[in-house]
Amino acid sequence: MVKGLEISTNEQTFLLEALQKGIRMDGRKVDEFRNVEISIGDEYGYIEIRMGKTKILARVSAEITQPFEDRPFEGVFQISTEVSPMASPMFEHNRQSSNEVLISRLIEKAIRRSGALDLESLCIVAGSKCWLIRADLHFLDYDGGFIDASCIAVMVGLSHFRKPDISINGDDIVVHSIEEREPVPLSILHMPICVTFSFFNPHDSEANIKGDANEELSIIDATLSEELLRQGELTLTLNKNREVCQISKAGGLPMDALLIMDLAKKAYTITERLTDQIKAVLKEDELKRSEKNKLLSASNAR
Amino acid sequence: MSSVNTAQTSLLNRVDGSSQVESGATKVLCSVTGPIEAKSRQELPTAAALEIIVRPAVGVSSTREKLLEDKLRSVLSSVIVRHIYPRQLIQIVVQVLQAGESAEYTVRETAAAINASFLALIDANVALHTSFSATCLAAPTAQSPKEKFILSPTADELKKALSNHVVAYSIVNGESEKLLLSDSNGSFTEAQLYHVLDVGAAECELIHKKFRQTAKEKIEHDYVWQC
Amino acid sequence: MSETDSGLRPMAFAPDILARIAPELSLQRHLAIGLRPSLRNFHEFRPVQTGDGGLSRYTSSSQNDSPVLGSAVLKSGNTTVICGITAGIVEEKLSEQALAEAASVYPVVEIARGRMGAPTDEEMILSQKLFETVHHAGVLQKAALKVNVGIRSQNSDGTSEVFYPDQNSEDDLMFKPSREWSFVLYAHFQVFSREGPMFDLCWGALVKALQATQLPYAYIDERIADIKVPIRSRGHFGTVRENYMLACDYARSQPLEIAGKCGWSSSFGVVDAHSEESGDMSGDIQMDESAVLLADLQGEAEETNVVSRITVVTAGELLHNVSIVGGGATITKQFLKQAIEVSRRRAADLLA
Repeated sequence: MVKGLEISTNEQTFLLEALQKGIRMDGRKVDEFRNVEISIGDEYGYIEIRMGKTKILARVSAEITQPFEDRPFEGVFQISTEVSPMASPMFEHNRQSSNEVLISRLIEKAIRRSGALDLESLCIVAGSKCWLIRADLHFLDYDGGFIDASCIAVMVGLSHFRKPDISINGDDIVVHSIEEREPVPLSILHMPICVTFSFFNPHDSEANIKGDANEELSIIDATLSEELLRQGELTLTLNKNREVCQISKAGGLPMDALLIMDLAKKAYTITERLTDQIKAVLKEDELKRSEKNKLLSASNAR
Repeated sequence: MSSVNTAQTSLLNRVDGSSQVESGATKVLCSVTGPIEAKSRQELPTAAALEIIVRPAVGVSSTREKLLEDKLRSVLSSVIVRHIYPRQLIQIVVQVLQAGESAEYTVRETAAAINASFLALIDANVALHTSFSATCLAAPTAQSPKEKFILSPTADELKKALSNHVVAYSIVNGESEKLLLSDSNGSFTEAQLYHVLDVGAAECELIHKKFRQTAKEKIEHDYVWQC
Repeated sequence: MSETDSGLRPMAFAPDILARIAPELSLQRHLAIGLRPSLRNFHEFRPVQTGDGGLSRYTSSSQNDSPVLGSAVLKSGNTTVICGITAGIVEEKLSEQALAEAASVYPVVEIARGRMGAPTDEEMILSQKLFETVHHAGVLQKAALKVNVGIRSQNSDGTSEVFYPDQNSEDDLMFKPSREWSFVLYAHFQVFSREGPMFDLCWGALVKALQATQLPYAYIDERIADIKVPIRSRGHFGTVRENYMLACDYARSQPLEIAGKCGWSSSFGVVDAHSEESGDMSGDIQMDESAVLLADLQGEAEETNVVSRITVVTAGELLHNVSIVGGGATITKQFLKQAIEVSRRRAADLLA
């Protein structure tokens, strides 16, 4: 298999011409988000996300640590996004490409800096003990949409994760195992969802800069081949409360300012649908778990 | 029944071969890409270079993963027919999905990584000298009678055990032939070590039987258009 | 390469040149006459000399304030390994059960190679292997790393005195500190003139250094034993306990307690000795080969061509680590038996 990914000129023209007619390779409409499959593992905070061929695994874990000195009342939240060559040989081991930096910065902004996780609730003893919540993202297979998928994965992971219950007895902190006491969920303040738009210019680049005819095409949730061909991208992060958490457009094709409103509206419908889907999946899992617990406690003649 | 519960191949799209092996609470995913162009500092004039990457389920890679990579490399560099891919690179990535053991131990992950890389290499059509498989064991006491060995011990059993072992054998005609890797830690006797090698060899044969089945299904699936 | 007389003649090389251009050939030629490139016998180890490194503050003659708590120097052939043990302190309260658990040291191996830079793979692998072997062998227990904390109290006449729980009766101690601390041990290795696999020598140096390690006592001041510092941040109020007022009393120390034997490590290689050089390295198995066990690999010819390796850490009747890599020549049980027997005898000699 070749290392880098290149698209032949034939395929390029074919793809672009089809896009101009509103047809995409996988049969989706231009503003259609791929179907998101969420599967939850046995452990708390083990989430697998599939969007078409893109596959991401999120693992959320917790440990007790010392808070940062300038933030004694807050816990620590880390997201690790390191892409290994497993996702695609074009990602080099131990060397972050600009693409990877962009992914990790965007996820950081969308989730951590938008305050999705309540850090103050992670404080145990001010200034000396707090929870460290880690979200490890493992990128397993790459077919575009890493940002959107990883945002979903982290948010489902955080909502699903339960940290062990603790009790504070004077200076001692007792961590209760999962068997001993029901673990407690994290406090999630809102659920940001990223939607990435990709832009294509059907004409040559000059026509666009002059600004006479803003005929650029925009599509939602590009696959890898579309990502490789796109001339610009925009990632919008919204939550169900119709709040914009983050907008990122890192250069590329200039676009009509008014278009953003239009795109935000589209993104909102997707956000709403995905949030509902996530909630439904979590609820279903909770039901399954409580039924299991019921079975266990019934067999225990206490 | 072998200690490997499920084994699947061809799960990923962007790499040449992939496999997922689940054994008890341990689950690893392995991908193989190659032969591909090597960077000039990796390139070997007469043989394929191996780039082996092991990534932990939780946290960032540390020296623990480096040692795991080294063990995996010592097995793979002798089973892959490297001289037919000179100046090229074979990239093997093992992603631990569930460790199934605490961070002080690596036996479960080592065995699973070796097993998964076998299937992924087959899936990637990389030439191999021989089949191989690996297993792990634990001895609860230093002088335990032979029956007391625990095959594929759980995290708790490992913690209580006095010694832990990984064994990998090459398999020829369904039988364990050559010892490829053995790593024993803890406190144990010489007799226990020989016993570990024997029990490990038998278990490796069982695991291989399972892998043959997986490979057979894969080939049937790959060549379905021929019928 | 100057060819004065014309005409063909077989090329001849000095042994050290042949060893560089055809290590495999050089090794096989040596084996054929029953020797190794280093001119040692097959089962002969390089002699090992050990010494106290003189780095430790407890053993060096001059009064020094070095942070090293134990050290060792080990020489074998041209290779020198220096190991120094230092310690850090963490606050942790351990239950009875946790105290019986195995602890370890955190080794950092540096192999001098004439330039600085990020640690190489070999250094990282070696460090981790030392860490795991110490941990699993169970020679260090968390209980042995507990800090002996005393309290310094001010007498009415202005002099101060330190009371330790193990030396003073309960009455002398006004109150015991409610917090507990543990040592974290670090082992720094410097390797000079590396000639072959380093695990044996590093393990030897580590064991010697640990045996020489003295752990200092520590004390806290009575008045600040439980002090709280108020803090304020963004509208929140709270108190933070002062963490740093633990002082080490270097005048008092106790030797590091080692549970059981650490043992000695010996490593071997197994290689096929061809009766006649076939020149074919593709791995075709020829029946006229006989494999030999080589002790203590040294030099490039052996390191690159002897792929099958055995490393054994023996401690009396018990084994602490056995690592076998069998990629090259087949490692049979006979070889393993032989290796264990040789390393037992060697350990007994060296540790006697």
